[in-house]
Amino acid sequence: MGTHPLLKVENVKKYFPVGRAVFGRSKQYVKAVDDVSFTIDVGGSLGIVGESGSGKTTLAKVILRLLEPTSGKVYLDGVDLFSLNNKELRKLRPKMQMIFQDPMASLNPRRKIMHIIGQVFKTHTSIGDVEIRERVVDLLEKVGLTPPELFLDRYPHELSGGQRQRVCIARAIALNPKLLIADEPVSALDVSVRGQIVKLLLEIYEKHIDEIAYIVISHDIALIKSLCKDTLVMYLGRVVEKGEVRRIIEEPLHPYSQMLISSIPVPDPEIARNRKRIPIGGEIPSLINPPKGCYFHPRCPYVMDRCREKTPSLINVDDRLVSCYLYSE
Amino acid sequence: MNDSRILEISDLKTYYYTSRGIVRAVDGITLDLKKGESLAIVGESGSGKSTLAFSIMRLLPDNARIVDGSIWLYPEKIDLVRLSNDEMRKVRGRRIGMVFQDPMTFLNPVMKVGDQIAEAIMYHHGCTQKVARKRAVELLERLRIPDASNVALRYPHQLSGGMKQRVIIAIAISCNPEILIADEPTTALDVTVQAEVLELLRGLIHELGMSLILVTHDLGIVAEICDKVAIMYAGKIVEIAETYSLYKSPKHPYTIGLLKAVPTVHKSSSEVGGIKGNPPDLVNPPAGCRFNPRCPYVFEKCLGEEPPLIRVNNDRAVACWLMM
Repeated sequence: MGTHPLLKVENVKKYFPVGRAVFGRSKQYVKAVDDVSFTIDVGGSLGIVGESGSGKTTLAKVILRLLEPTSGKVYLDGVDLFSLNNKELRKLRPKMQMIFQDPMASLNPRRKIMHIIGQVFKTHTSIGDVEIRERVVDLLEKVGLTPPELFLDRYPHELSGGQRQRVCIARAIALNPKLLIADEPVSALDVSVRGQIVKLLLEIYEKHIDEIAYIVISHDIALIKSLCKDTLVMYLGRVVEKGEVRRIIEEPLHPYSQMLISSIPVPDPEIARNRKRIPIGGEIPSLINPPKGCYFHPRCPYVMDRCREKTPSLINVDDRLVSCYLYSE
Repeated sequence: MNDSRILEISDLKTYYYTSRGIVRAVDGITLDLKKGESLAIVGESGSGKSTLAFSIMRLLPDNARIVDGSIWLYPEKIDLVRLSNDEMRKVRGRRIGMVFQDPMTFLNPVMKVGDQIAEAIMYHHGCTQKVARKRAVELLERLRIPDASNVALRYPHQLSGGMKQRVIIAIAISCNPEILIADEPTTALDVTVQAEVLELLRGLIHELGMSLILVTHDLGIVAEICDKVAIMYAGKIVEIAETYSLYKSPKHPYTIGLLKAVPTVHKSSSEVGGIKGNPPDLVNPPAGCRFNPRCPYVFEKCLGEEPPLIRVNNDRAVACWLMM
């Protein structure tokens, strides 16, 4: 495993204007992603966990420049992504790929699988039709759609959910990306099929470990744990905790992480009914009018005076980063 | 303990008539529910679990029909399948309440939530609107909604998902039904909100002595609140057992696979398995045991003959030839 950072995200912000006035500029913003920084080394894997509205998908889209950032910098293999023009960006696209939540929505319903995956090569390479076919067959085999010849001429609607997600994965890895982002890769799938896709994603990651950085976005920290080593925990656009997934699950430090982990239903009645529960108060506040200070303070059982005043910054505590005054002097 | 029975379903069959053919969504289900018991019906999409729930409520779409079987409601032992629409309307809400998956689609967007709760109370109890509205506010308070009298005057779009789901629960329990059916009650909610709503449901059924039928695909939720679990696959129950023993020693190969297919915080990634293949098409289900194309232990008998649901001990029944 190499140690040089493949992806470097620095103080990325994405604000969406809301309530635009008829004349003039709007004054209110939704701070969907608010000052997020991290790096991933070659062979590294990072999870981003958070509930709806935490900004995890927006962050991914900004990193890939599917959305224009408000401010911040992202470097992929040393290249400043935000400084590229469209043409340069397009050239780099094969190197950064995303797998989306709903495979049916991300595959063209009127194209056959051969065309859907083959298009990647047509757009980004100059190889001929015969070789494209070989490559597509190869890819289908790689993602477990065998025998591949059986799938080439099918349309997406003829496949099951799990098979469609395999097609999306095949397309994403077609040109050996350096950065692969999977956004809720199993949420739309049947429970019994999820395990297969988790296994496939792990297999692909391990096969490309010398060249790839891997981000998995999910609301489900259990899924993140099975796919990634480290994770960010996001709440309302901010990172509240970062560290090894296993350690965060064993001993969450930030009160929000504690609440999140104690809320996950555990499919084992003995654990489920005997574990300690963190009392949950209130709901996720609106991003248009977030609370002052730490965003979590209205729901936090340990809230202190200064939590209401100023946002705590991320500090090193043991083996991780936490933004909470409980851990600062 | 037969007299504590409150609902008994026997050999229920509900089919959909579609242009592709007959979909046997519920194909011979037999189960019973005792007073105060909470039963989970677990299955993947297309397993027929929601159709079963909607059959009990007789809220099926036009192209679906209960073709055979009975749903007995105790103590009078009335057969819900054979009730007239008028009589059924008196059962719905009054004796059996239902909580739906997506709170937004089941609330009237142009009616204040307090009035939506009051409507059911007025219909079933024939009381005045004033009394019903007061009772609605009490219910919202009971569901731990802060500032309930104010919330009652709001419209659904002004409430968060968790709040809306609590309004739906308030409507469902407004007439003190004996049975509450919850169809994926927390699927549309975030995990932290889900935990709160589950806690609330658990408290309510204890307090009010209701029986619960929880329909879900999530084995995690089941472990939290149910006494008994029925696992459905392709329109049939493949295993039914007391919750603790089901999780400790699942018997049917599908149950075993299902428990392994979900990553959990307590499992390492190497323990995450999966079941090969996909759920079958119910227009044309496989012959014999419907799980046979995906089963790792399949043998000859499974291909030809369908295994019946056989009681293997006091608290468990399994439909698998391996058990015979």
